[in-house]
Amino acid sequence: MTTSTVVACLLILLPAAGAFLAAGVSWQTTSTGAPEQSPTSAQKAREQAANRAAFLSSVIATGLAAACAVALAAIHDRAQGNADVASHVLATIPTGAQPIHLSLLPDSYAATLALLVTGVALLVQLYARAYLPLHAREHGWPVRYRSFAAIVGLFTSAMLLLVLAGDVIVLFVGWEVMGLCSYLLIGYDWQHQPARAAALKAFLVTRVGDVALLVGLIMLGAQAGGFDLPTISQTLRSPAGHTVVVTVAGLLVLLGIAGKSAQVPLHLWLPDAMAGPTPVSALIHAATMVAAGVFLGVRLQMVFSASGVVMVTAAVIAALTMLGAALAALVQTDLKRVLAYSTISQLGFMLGAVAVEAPQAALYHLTSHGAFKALLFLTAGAVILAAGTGQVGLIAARLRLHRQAVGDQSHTTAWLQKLSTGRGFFVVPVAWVVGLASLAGVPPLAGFFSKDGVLEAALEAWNGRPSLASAGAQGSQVDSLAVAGQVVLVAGLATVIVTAAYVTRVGLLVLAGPRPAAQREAGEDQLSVQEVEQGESEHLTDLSAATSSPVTGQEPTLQASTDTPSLPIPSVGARALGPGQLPALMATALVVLLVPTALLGLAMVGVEALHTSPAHMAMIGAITLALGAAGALAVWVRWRTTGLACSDQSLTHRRLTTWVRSGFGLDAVVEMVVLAPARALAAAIDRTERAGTDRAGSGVAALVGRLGSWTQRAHSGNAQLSLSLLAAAALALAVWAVIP
Amino acid sequence: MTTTVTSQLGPSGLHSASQLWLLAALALPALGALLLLVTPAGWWQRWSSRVQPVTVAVGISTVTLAVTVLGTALGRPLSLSWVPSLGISFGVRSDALSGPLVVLTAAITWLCLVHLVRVRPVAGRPRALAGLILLVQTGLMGVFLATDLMQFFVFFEVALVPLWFMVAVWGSDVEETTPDGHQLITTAHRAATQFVCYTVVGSTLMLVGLLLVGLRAGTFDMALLTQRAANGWGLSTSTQLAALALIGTGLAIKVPIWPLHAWLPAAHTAAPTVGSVLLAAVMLKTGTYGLLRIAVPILPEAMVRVAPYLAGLAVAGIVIAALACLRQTDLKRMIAYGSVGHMGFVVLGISTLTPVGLTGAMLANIAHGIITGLLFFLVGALKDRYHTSALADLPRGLYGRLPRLGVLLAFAAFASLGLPGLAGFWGELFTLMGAYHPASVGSHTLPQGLFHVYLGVAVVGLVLTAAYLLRMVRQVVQGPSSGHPRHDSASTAGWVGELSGHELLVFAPLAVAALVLGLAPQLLTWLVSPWAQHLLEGVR
Repeated sequence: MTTSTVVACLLILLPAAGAFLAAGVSWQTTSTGAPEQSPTSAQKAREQAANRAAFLSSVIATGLAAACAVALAAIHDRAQGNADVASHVLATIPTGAQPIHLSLLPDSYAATLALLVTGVALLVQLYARAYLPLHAREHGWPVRYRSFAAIVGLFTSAMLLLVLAGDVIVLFVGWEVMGLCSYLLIGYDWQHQPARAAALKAFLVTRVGDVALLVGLIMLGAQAGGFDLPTISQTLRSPAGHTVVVTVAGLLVLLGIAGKSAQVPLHLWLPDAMAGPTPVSALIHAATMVAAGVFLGVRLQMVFSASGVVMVTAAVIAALTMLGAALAALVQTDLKRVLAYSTISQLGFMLGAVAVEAPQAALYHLTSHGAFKALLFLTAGAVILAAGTGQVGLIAARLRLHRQAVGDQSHTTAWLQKLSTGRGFFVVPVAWVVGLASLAGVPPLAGFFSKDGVLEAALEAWNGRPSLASAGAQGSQVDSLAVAGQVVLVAGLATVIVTAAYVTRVGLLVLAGPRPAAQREAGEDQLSVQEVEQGESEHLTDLSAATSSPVTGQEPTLQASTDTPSLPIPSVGARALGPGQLPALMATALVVLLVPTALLGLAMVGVEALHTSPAHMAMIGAITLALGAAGALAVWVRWRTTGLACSDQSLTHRRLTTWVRSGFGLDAVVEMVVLAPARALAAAIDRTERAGTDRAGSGVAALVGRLGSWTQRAHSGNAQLSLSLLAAAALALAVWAVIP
Repeated sequence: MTTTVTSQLGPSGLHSASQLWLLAALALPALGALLLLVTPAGWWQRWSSRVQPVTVAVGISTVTLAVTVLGTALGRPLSLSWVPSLGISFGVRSDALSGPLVVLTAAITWLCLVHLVRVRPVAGRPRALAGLILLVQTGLMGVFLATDLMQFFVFFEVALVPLWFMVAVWGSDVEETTPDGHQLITTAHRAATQFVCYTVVGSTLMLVGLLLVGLRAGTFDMALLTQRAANGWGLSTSTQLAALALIGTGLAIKVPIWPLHAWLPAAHTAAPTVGSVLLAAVMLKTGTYGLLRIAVPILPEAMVRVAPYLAGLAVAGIVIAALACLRQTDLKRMIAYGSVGHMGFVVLGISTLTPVGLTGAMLANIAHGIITGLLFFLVGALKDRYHTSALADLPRGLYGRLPRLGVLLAFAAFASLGLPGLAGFWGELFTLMGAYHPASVGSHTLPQGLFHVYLGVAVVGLVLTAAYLLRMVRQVVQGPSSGHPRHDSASTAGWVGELSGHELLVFAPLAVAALVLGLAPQLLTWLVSPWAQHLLEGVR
């Protein structure tokens, strides 16, 4: 065993050990006490101690894993050029056909991803310790921190298993366990109906992709004669590997990637998955797990290269996803849903990079997106807690109102300045602006360089860069690469405009509100608490009628305000976070994430593998900047003149907008084409089964009864049914067998 | 492996003490059953202040489990002449195929009896129930250990009668409201009789088939028959086909293979918890074991011809059962139906006639025993608390009410849907691998295209399986944990405590086994996959 293998084993096992400890604490200290019984102080102290134990075990374990990831990266840094790391077989599972090797492939790709995963996981563990009690208080639910810490630990371990696996079946184990953790965490608020529905939907939609992936992997394994990644890549690299089987397998793998990475047509689950707590959205549904599909694409890059059909299909899927999701993000009314659609769109960029044979560009964008999207989600978590709502149109007004409620009557221009004076809270607006700027691609932030890397690769593919599969030297492969490059580049540039537009929209809405301060009706800031709550409850009634927002349970907030109508301050203060109250753990996570978001781009700008031609780099950079500026400007002008439409009422009057906002109505299509027929079929089968078992049961009973009475007569009354049947049959058979 | 088989052909008599291990494993439960069932009640009453009959049964079962584990590891096969004129012998033998199943049987029986110590049957008479459990164990162990076709049949029948009593006497009537609003009542007596009628018809056909094989071949010794088939001088193809039609139907009823499963939902639902566990976890395996032990190695030529049809029925069962599960209104009935789907995977694996498919079938067999046993135990625990297993009447939000029970139930559901990392996954993976490349040896190539269609259908079944199990989790485990009108009123509230230590003692071994086999399937595959190769020697 080499050092890197040992480090890789530790990486996988450490978070699992932490999760095991936290789960043990959770199991030991679980209580069934009804919520109405107020806990005694001794119980509270025990609860606190248990939470602390779970926190320490998971944070220490994740921290050690992060240290291991750093060590792994250092090993690779020292051994540069030694790119082809052999996979290390730890155990073998004989199957009777191709064996499954429990092997690890701790190469530089894996090291990069391990750094991202452990880093974000550690920050999310820290953040969640402070966030979850506030989240629970906001909704009036009991805190269940320990199980959360355990599941996040299990998730981290599964993701690292996937990243480090050298065998596709082992990779698939990590893939599915991650899916389980995602399901459990989306359904973390299982008392809450939308959370239950979203969890179920997420698991089943991804399960469709997963079984397709499993079949695809079985086909690849059979083709290559083994399941380990080097063997599969080797087989596909040879011209003999380019067959129909590989094309079909590649399409199935692509479907699996689409399921996990929320690409068209299996993207449906991700917006709903925002029903999970915000730290979960940051870790699993933005930074790491959803990127696992792209990582699989990078690992199986040769599958895309070996078949032009797969390559072009991937490019088309990526193009549809990046542009469609960006458009959907433009008209969302829920903050987390905006970010969710933006994640889907950015994952489209990564898949596009895989489709144009630029695995390094895909990984680079994956990493930078992981950093800035985690930052955005964690910031959004704090904003939503402070505002008590996730509705983009209300956040700014609520934050202003909040400031008044706590007694600050000075008319400063923006809550931004006020928040800056609070302890720790100055981080929030800064993080929000930097994160959004990175998403929009403002230089010199990470998002600018990584997105341009993808577009450069697409441009070069269009210009006729030789395919990775050039060993076969087939003209068609080169052609399909050019087609893929064309598709990705055009869609990518269009997406840049839309991205800048929705980033500007959501940035303005959160920081300033739907209209600039000058245009706000006079006295809006002095609106009484009751009036705003009133308007909001109307708004919420509309919301509950609309199907599209299962996120951030609104009922408890309303409940809180109706419970205490006479006290304006508690009704606003029912939200969990006031100015100057940002817990240190949450602030730490934000500050730490700001660093890579700001600096990762500069660190990578000189890497040659990402930028082959300085001219292309400059050209793409100039074009994306111009397009982005145009998109942002359009939104800003609209904000200055008419104000931004941001509530359901102002958006629903146009059918097109509604259609886009609901994710292009795909849910309804799935309901009609898949779910309704399946339900009808299940009902029909259930009916026939019940009738069938009933009839068959009585039929057999009647038959046996008749036979019984018949044999009874024949044998003067005392023959047992079974015995006589047996005797008769045996006799007949013996006669037949003896007669030659 | 092969050498032990060839050296033990035919009745060989008793040579060494190590041959007695397995015989003891078979005799102990039989004697225990005799002790519990035949002794007069007064005899027990004299002792009952100090020794409970169920405790005695647990003691016997513990010793049996230990002897079984030792016997499968160390014991040597034993074969004695029984009816020499017809070539019928009596023997015990444990190999890679039967060993895991024998240990599973002994372990599940032990868990059932331990369960019975604290969780007394509603219908009373725990002594008789414990005796019947031991009798069932005798039958099932006899089936798995048998070396002779007739012995296989006899023990097949031995397990049947006590199960009738178990379901009819200790079972509960099933009342359920169908999704259409109809009220259906199946009495336990009717369910039990239906089960026995089905199985007796099946085993009668099987007996005819076994006699056909034995009398034509002149011996009933399975190892001998296997070797002859492997060497290519087995029975003629037409005899094989006739025998397989008869034996296969009998086994198919037991497995059960769709559409011969009509007895299963009612029997599993009506049975008491321990009865459901024994039925699902072990009883069904006698059917697939028969296919692996008799149909594949002894009737290989017929099996190659029948395999495509058998596989078709198996995948039909997988999908139909999963769809039916989506509409079940009773938890026990849903899990019972689920068994049809899971056993469908086992049969599909066997039908591929490949080493990997057969290995998958054996893994899925064991995994289903562990996981479905756990599921039935957990539903039993719910039933002990809420006196119902109807989804509509069970309270929601088990995570909040009884967190440990809720977590275990969710765990079992995920194990059952084949989550990688838990035992259920590997059998399904290997089966699918086999279906992608079905046997293509000699003249009888299985139709590859057809099996690819089967593969696609089976995979749809995997999605549907996840759907119905998650529906169950959503309805029972998740949800608001207060405000149920029926269970929150003080008048109806019975004992609804959290998982007791005793229950955990019974459930935890199954959960741990599901996890260990999921993380390290090589514990079984090392043993099983060479043996799968051996079973297929006749398929050429």
